[in-house]
Amino acid sequence: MSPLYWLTPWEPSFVVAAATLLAGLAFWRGGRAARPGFGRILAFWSGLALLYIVSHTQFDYYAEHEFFMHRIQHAVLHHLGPFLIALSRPFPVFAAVLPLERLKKPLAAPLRVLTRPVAAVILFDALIVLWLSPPVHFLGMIDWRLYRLMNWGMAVNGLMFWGQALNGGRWSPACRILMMLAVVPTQIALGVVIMTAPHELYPVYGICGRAFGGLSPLTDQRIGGAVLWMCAAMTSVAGILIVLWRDVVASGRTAFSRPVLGRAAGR
Amino acid sequence: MQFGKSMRLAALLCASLCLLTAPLARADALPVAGHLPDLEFSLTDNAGRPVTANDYRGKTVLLYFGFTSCSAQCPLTMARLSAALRALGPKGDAVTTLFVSIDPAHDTPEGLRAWLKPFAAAHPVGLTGSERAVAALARRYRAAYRPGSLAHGTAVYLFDGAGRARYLLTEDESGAGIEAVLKTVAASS
Repeated sequence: MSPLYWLTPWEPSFVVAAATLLAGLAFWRGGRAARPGFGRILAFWSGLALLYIVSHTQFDYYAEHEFFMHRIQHAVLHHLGPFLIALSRPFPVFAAVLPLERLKKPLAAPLRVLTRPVAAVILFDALIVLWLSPPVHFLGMIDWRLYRLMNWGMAVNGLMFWGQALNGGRWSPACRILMMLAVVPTQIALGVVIMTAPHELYPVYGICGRAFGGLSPLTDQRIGGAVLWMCAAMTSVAGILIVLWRDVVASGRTAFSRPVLGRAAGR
Repeated sequence: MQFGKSMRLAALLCASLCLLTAPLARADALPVAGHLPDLEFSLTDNAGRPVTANDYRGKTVLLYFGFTSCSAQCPLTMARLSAALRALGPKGDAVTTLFVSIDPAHDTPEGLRAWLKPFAAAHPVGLTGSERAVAALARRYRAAYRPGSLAHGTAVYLFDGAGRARYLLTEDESGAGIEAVLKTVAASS
């Protein structure tokens, strides 16, 4: 099979293709004016590429038919992809070509509520718990509309959470570090529950058919639980180290000082 | 105030977490009405004729993905369906079992016809077609299908006479259970 085949979408989605294209174009054009450094450019494109690969290539087939592949898909959609994009601080780059402030206006009120640290932490974990509760997971995996809602929800929530945790203008570094710490216990607990469950929690994979015949349902489930556990811990630790270094040590400020407004536009 | 609200939300989160530890009730027939799309395909039947889902409107359809060199699961499933339909008696005549080959490169219409003979009570029709056509049907119902791989699911998809998806029958489903579900669907469509 040609390598290009693996890049063809399993379930073509105009919205995914258009959103990726738009984000890529805007970053490329905006980059001419905002001039982000090489590290930011690399972070943005790898984040965007990862999001695209897990949602709009043949990878998606495996995510639909093997639990641990589904967990890897969500690790990218909710953690790694948004994390890398947030790391690239794309907002000022996009703002150079898109009227972002105007687009943000109608969303300002809900965003203000959802980005309060406690609300953001609860929303982040609640989405994971919701889609992993077995009856909801079953429907999410068989109904293509719910499946897309689930995956879009993960990506959008990931961008909101990591964007705020890594760059959050309104909150002090200490507060953002606590946010990243606070989302970890629920995910670890859930990962352990899934890893140690003695029975199949998600029979939908066997019912609709598994992608890898040689892997037993329980092994698949255990690997999936481990992915959930590890990626929760690792992304948060990476985020905490970055905030500690960038916003405390390197900036010479204390962890409790609020960032200077407009700082995010620099560097 | 803020604290109380957070605590309530946290309690809700814990409660949902507890839900996880309870095993999913293995209801034999999983209702999927409204979640899976109507029956639609364009394939070749075991008489070599091109057929579409419209040819089976008015019948209750049991859809299953398998292949003729399958040694355990496919014949067992077909035997279960045959037994359930035999028990239904004349009412079973309104039911058709569509056996879709996930091995279209090897399963010819004649081969399918011969393989399905022992399961005549299930009123089976073997369906095959191009890889693309089989993949389109499998994707529509989230069934595993990769050209060259023989991995497939255990589900039997149940459609009513109007072609609407109604239930997923799992491999735990007993013959009596299948019979009961078929009666429910026949009565409501």
